[in-house]
Amino acid sequence: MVDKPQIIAHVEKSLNFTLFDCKWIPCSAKFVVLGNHARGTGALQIYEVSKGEVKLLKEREKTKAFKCGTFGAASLQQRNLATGDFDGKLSVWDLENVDTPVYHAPAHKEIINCIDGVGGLGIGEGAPEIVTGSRDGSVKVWDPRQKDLPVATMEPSESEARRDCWTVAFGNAYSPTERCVCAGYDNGDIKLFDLRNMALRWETNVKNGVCSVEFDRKDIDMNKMVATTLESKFHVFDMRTQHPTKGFASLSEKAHKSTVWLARHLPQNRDVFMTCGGSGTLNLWQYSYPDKRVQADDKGVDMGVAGTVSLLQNVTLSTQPIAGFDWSPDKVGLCVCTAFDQCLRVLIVTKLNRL
Amino acid sequence: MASPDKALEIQMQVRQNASEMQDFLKDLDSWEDDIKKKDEQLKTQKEGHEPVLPPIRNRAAAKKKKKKVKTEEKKEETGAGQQNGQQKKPKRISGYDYRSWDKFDVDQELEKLEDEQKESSSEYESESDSEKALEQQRLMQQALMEKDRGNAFFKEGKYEEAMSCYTTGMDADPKNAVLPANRAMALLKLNRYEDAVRDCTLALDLDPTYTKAYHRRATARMELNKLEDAKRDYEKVLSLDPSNKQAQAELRKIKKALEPATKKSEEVIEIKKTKPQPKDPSHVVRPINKPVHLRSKKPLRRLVIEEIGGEEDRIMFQPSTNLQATELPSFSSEETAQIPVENSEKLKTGGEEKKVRENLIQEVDDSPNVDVPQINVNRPSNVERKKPTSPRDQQPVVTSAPPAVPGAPATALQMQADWRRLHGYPQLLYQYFKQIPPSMYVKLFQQSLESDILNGIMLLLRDHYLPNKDDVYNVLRSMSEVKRFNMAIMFMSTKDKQVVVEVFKGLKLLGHQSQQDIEALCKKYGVNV
Repeated sequence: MVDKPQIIAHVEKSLNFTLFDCKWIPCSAKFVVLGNHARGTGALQIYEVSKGEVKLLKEREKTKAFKCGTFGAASLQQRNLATGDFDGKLSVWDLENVDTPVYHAPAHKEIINCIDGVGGLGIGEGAPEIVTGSRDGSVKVWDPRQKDLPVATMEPSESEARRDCWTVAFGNAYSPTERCVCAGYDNGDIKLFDLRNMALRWETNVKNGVCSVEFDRKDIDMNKMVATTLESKFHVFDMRTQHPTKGFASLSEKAHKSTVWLARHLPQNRDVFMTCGGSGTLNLWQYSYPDKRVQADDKGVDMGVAGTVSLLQNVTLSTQPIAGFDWSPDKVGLCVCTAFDQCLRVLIVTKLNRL
Repeated sequence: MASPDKALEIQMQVRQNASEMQDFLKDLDSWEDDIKKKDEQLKTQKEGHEPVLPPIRNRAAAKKKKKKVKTEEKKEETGAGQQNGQQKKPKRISGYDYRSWDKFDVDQELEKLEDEQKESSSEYESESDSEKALEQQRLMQQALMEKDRGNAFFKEGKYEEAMSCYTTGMDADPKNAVLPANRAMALLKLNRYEDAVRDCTLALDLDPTYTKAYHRRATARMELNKLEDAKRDYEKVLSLDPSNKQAQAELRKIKKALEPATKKSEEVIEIKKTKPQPKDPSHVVRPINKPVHLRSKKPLRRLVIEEIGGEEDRIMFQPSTNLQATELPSFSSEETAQIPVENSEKLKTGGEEKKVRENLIQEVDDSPNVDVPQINVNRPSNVERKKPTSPRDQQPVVTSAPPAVPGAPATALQMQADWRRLHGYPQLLYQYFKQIPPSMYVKLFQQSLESDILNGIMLLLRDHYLPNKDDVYNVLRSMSEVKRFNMAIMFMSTKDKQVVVEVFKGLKLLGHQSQQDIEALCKKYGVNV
């Protein structure tokens, strides 16, 4: 129907370096773009949306290319950006003074593929923490108060083969002590670590490399989680009920006809999420819960029931994969995305408040 | 019917969507303003209250392990600590205190750092600041070391190694402005000018008063031919350091290079005009000796020599060519003095030989094609003459095609050359000659009126002027005022005289002039009409 939300490209800007990630600076009309110049140095640029165009406010060139960044562990006053670079170094930057990092740790031996933060921005409880996943197969949790050493490390034992960790996400941070980290690997493994017990809580394999995992909300009791994979598939897990053997209930959906690179939930509505595809397409989905979320199996043990997901809108923006996407936490429907065609686009999604 | 309703519905929806978009955009603008205000507020508002954060995860496990070690260490330290209690915490050395930095032992400090890390975690938060500061200073020291190493490589000429040293130094201490500037210098030496400009900009971001960085950036920009930017940088250098001689010299160079491109074409001509003719009183004109490979390669043209009986004349007038040569400068300078204004207007006269055009193009440089009032040029363009292009250099006309009518000549030499060239084409000769105003004759010929030219002119008058009813009288009169006119008249053959008679007859017929004038003129010409 024509009543669907519309995805409109508001501003499109072509840059001269490879873009890997973009993140809105919380509580502002600015966003940060991270990438990699052709000469191998890192690019960090801050743009501001104003009157129908984006203005470059600041840019810095750093010695190593940036892969990913997050504001998740930053306080609202300081809004420090945590970045992972191609050298495996984790840095936290104060955007007012981008020349020296506020915190720096030689996190991994290989490129940091993914990063997430929790506990900042007034969201969630507990200490701010950053988690990084790297090609060396390990997932490390950092606390900016502790220098050089991670707070927790999850890595395969010596005998096991090390698989690249492609994505990490925090979740279940509803109390100061409770926290979960979910990690997706290139062989299709999804592992859920419980940081309070320091134990592996659940793992599964979805057959295709996992490009992105995200909980619908970091700061509540685990509700839903989306995992996107290669070969144009994504899975939605219902995380409320864990069955001892069957794990979490899930539904899987085919989309994009190419790798689904990202899934990002709308901050203002946890049942709406956007998936970004390798063919430069964006799909807007809405999840609907089943009538009964829990049902008993034949042995009487509770198990979860997955709902359904419906496609609200799709749009093709580019021919290259859209590898970076972020919803603005302050304005419903405003989002920024970056693609491998070196373009950054500010998009507007209308009618989201009517869903 | 369902379809028109559907269509209507869709139309409505589309309109609604459009209006929603508009609303959204308006809303977006107001939201932007609000959020910017909020942003500013947050920035200025310092952290009001530090939320009580839970302890660092897993710290407890680490604590238990290291507690034993710590207690042992502490016992030792308290013993020694009382003696030199102040030295328990390492003294912070300021970044500008180079002497103590020279004495700074990096390895020792590193060990100390490692020991401190093993201490209790409760001191961590307070110590982390001092450790950070130490870390910073250690990095600064490292940066200075790298800078020195880089400088050593630079002196040896190993610019690549120097560059990599500076890069490591920059990594260690990104705030040091000297390192990117030095790296820029190394890049300059490696001819990587774009990179050098970028590094200088980096250095200037860190320290806007760093003159060396401006200087190097200006040099790099000059190599990249960005003269305006280079000029600005040099001016900045001079504003910071007025006594910088090198910057002054370079700035002057740039200004010179920039100026001619902007000036108008006439002025260029002015400058160029006067240049090759220094007003030295000796009036020495150097003979032109072109090396063999530069001389005109056109085949020599066989000229049919028509003997009109003026052979002696020619021989006689040969030495005068030298005089002509010597008088040329004064003549030309007069010309320039007297006709600068008009000449400046007429730069390009159409129909000139290619070489002249090339000369013009060379001189006029970047100036666009000036829209000048064109031809009917009565004044010659002095330009071509000013270059030492003697008639010799002007390429002989291709005999196959009739030549273009040249502009009015400025010297007798020129005239003779043109004359000879147009010899076979009386019509063109007529046109050419018509260009020359009679009042110019005196100046044009001066001492060098040759009788064959005079005869030729007579022929022209008879054959062309009279039929076209042009002004013959003035021509005749002015001719008569030319020096050596009498000589030329004397050397006229009877045939020539016949021509003159016919001219006068025609003149009489025209009846423009009074009888007396004509008769007076007749006398001068030595004919009786």
